[in-house]
Amino acid sequence: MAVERKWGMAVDADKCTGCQACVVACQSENNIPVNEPDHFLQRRAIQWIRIERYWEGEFPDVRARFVPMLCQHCENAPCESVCPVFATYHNNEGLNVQVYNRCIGTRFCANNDPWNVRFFNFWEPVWPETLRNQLNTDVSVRSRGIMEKCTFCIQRIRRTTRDAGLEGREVTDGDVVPACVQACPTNALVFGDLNDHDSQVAHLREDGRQYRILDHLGTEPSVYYMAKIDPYAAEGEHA
Amino acid sequence: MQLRPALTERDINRDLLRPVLATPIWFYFLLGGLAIGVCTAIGGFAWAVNHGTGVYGINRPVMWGFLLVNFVFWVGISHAGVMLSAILRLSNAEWRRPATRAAEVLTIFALGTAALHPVFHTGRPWRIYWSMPPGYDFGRGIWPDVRSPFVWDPTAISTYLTGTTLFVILLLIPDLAVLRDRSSGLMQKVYGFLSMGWKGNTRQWKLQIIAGFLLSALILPVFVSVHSIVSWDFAVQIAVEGWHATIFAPYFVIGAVHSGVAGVISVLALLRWMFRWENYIRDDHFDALARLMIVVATAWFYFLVIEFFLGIYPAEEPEISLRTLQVFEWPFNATFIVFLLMGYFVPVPLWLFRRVRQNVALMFWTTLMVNIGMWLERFIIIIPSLMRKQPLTFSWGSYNPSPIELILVAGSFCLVFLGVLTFSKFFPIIPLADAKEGVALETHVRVGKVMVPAAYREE
Amino acid sequence: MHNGGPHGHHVDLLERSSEEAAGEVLGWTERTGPAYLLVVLVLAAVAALGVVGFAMKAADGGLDSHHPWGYLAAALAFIMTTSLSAPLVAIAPRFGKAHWNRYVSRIAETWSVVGLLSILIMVPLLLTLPSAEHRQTLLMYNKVAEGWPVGAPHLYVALVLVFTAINGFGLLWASAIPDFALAKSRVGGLRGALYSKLALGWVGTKRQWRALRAGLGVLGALYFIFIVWSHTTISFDFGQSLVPGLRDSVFPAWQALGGIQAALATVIVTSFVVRMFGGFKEYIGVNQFWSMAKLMLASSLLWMYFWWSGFIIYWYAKTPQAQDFLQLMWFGPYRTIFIITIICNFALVLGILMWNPVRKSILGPTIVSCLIIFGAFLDKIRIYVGFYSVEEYTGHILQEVPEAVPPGLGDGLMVAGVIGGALLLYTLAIKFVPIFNLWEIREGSMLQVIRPFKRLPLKILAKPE
Repeated sequence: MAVERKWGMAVDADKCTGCQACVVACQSENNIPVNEPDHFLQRRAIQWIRIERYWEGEFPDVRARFVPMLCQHCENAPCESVCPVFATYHNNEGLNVQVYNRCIGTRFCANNDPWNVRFFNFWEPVWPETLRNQLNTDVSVRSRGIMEKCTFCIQRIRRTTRDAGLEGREVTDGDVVPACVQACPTNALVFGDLNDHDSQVAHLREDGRQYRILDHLGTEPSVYYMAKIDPYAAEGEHA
Repeated sequence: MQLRPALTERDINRDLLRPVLATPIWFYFLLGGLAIGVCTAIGGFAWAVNHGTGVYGINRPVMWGFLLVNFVFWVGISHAGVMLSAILRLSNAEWRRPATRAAEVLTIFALGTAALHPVFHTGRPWRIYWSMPPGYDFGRGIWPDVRSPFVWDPTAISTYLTGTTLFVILLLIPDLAVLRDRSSGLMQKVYGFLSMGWKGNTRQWKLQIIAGFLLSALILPVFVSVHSIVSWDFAVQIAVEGWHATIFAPYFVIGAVHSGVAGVISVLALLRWMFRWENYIRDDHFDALARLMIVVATAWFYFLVIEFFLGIYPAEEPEISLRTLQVFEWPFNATFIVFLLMGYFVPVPLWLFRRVRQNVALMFWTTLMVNIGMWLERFIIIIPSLMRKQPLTFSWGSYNPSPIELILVAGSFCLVFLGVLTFSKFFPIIPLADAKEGVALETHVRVGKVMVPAAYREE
Repeated sequence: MHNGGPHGHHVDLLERSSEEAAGEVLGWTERTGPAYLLVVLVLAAVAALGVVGFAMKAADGGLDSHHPWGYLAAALAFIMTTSLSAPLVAIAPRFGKAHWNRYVSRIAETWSVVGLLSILIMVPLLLTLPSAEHRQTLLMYNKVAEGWPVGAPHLYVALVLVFTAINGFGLLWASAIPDFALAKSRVGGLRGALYSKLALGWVGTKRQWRALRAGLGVLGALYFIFIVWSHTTISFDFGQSLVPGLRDSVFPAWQALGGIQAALATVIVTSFVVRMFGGFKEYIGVNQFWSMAKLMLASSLLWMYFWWSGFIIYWYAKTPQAQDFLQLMWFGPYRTIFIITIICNFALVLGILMWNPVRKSILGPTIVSCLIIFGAFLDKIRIYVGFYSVEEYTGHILQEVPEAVPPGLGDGLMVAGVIGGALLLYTLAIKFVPIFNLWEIREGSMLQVIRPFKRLPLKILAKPE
């Protein structure tokens, strides 16, 4: 690998229909326990990617806005420096990674995460008997008392890189597809290497509609959002 | 002018050693009651360990709940010990004498109890030593991350705990020697061992006094650092706007002194009632402590006002909605009113009257009020700020404490009082040597027709 | 503090009767020699230069915006920090029933006459201070556009400063009433008549004493509150609010604390001057310097701590805004000044005053006090000149960190004039109000006795309940 990779994602809010396919795909890919209604009521549901829905306008002229929200994999991640045990750190591929068996569950990172995309395992995870066999063998099941979050499907990154290495070729743009990107029916999500100037995601980063959520905090998120094009919209701010 | 009874050294020994040498029967019942509370809390914690952190009321985004509120509260209470002992010792205030050891002992047990809270709080408490220096993880070869305030915390707290314990032991030595000479059997051996051959000669006294001053001076920076670091647990976070304020460190420290001194006054009133120590913990001691409280409380209130005004001044949406939640929305509006009344507006105007300052019952209830207010202050700082972290309203949340958390909070109170009472069963909680020194240095100066109480001053 | 062994007990009781002391002090107050007149003339000339400097800047079209007046704001903050805070050194120990302050309390309180000057400087600053539209004020955030509260922030700054000044004069007057009564019978003429008017028929009845004590208590507490609020308001309305997005909540408290530190320094230096050049060596002894030096050391440590608690938040946050503020306030154009301030107000203070023999001397605390005053001066320049030079003062974020603004001739004259004016007011005041608080000294001599303890003569301090 000549240039270090820096994985990133582009999210086109204009294409997002709020169908939640990404949420389900992520759920089954990453061995996330089933979120029952109780979990939502207790605000303890785990969704590495979620669709945030905001209402805009006054009744009856109300429109829904969908913002897919996942770990932003910041360059200067505020969650990293507050962890007392280095359980979360930045790797050299631009990923903010979580070491499950190092985590002691202070939940400090969750507090210092402005996007609320870090999740705590309040209970030991359980699956219904019928779902036992769908667990992904590439992903560890997290025990209770630790934090977890979106990994950009690091297991797929690793598998693709390894396979490419075995086949003696470079990993090219589009080879690595996280579950949410794969499942998105409108191609609202694009994943790739931001350091590769020819990649689709690097092009999208140059797009005029591009913005980053809570950019003023200076954390340099790796997830770029494309603003919604709304013919009816008064000049309003997104999210 | 108030008449002070003339006390001989014999009186002092008899009265102050009474709880140690002739423990009343009700004392054991009290200890038993508190022990039941502590055991319940241990059961609650065992339940939490067995079932998972889910038994607490925390959720996303309110990841820190009652346990952290209570942690800050007890660290705050623990600031009384040094405040009273070290500062008043260095400034040679006569009225510190009966209060010092009670304050230090309260410090030790409050701090020890506070140090337990991170254990209750973390998801995997059996691994918590990874965050405590040295905390080396042999399996992975990783040290703790010194960038995290959660590593500064155990460092500061353990230093403070060690320092205060040394302080108490050092000042206990002469009294232990008195106890050694008055006990028999096993206890005599124990006291004899602890008193380290104290004979009370000039050289020993000199060393003890110098060591006391040195420890007082050295412990002061530690005392300031502990609560500053606790405040930085919160203030360094950029994600929680309500916490990200530069004033947090001094604001927390002064608030800690506020609640800590109030806690000492409550404990002194209780001791005076329980052991009938009217001649030792006198009305004028309460008077002096209450005067100190007026100053501390007003300084704290100034910080509170500054913190609040500068929070809303840039008029940014998330901060405004947070402050609205804190002040106007149920249940925080009720909490806020109770907090202001109890933390400042009821007790401080009352203390302006000498008759209140010298009334033990009123002092007990007003200082208790202060601590209820200060507990609520921590609650108001911690919980609403987490509920409305950032402008992303989708993840705004709420919080309800679970029964287990309430049991742990109640148990922490039982534990602290159990500790203080147990200490007073085995050691004199009013320093004998200090009391005797006070009596020896006490005198009167005649001004016209009045005799004014006075004290010899060594400089 | 324990000082080991029976030797070295300093006893600072005045070795003369209160009658003699009164004669000496009042005689000194009345006497004005040629040297004194020369000092007054020089100070008056410097103050006049300040007016010239002000006129130069004003003629330059300076009254149109607030940007050129950073140095004047710094001068105002400087006299608030030094002169107007100095009475705290009289107030606080009085509350703490201390005895050492009796010999310096009037020296401290007399500084409140500078309140007159602070109001004078405030006028042009308020005239040029931009209105609160499109920016915030401390009291009420975005309500200003709706015309409420009336006159924010100008009215509130003015109120606080005027009340502080009035309160200071009241405190000085109240504490001097028994001394005026004493003086009126000793001097005749206009001065005697004025003393007699100001003594308000004081004869020293029990009721009058009780009223005086209550009055001093209330005025002292109020002054404490007002001076802290003055620091808060000035550092806010002439400082922070001119930098968009700056929300440094420890800053006002830090400035107030700097006021306490500089107040002690001011009183120490003034005491030194009065002692050396006024011929009052027997009045102010090592004990006074020692007691103030201890407090000064403590306040310097706290000063550094307050700075640190502000710094660490910005430094840890790493947000672009925080980095801009770090640049603007400390590590950017004013870095050198800031480093000198830290050295003068903390590092050297700690390094020198940590030694008890130095604390317990006349010269040691005086030298450190000079450093602290110098450091405080640089600190004010750094803050107010820096904040005043921010071009775009509306909005929510600091657009760019401005360059350092070196002082022009007008600025230099103005700052010198303000300092000269403050000294002039003080120099004039000490020839009217007795420089020592005679009744407090007399009371102190009744409440402090040397008596043998076993074989050792020890001082006894009496504390009336």
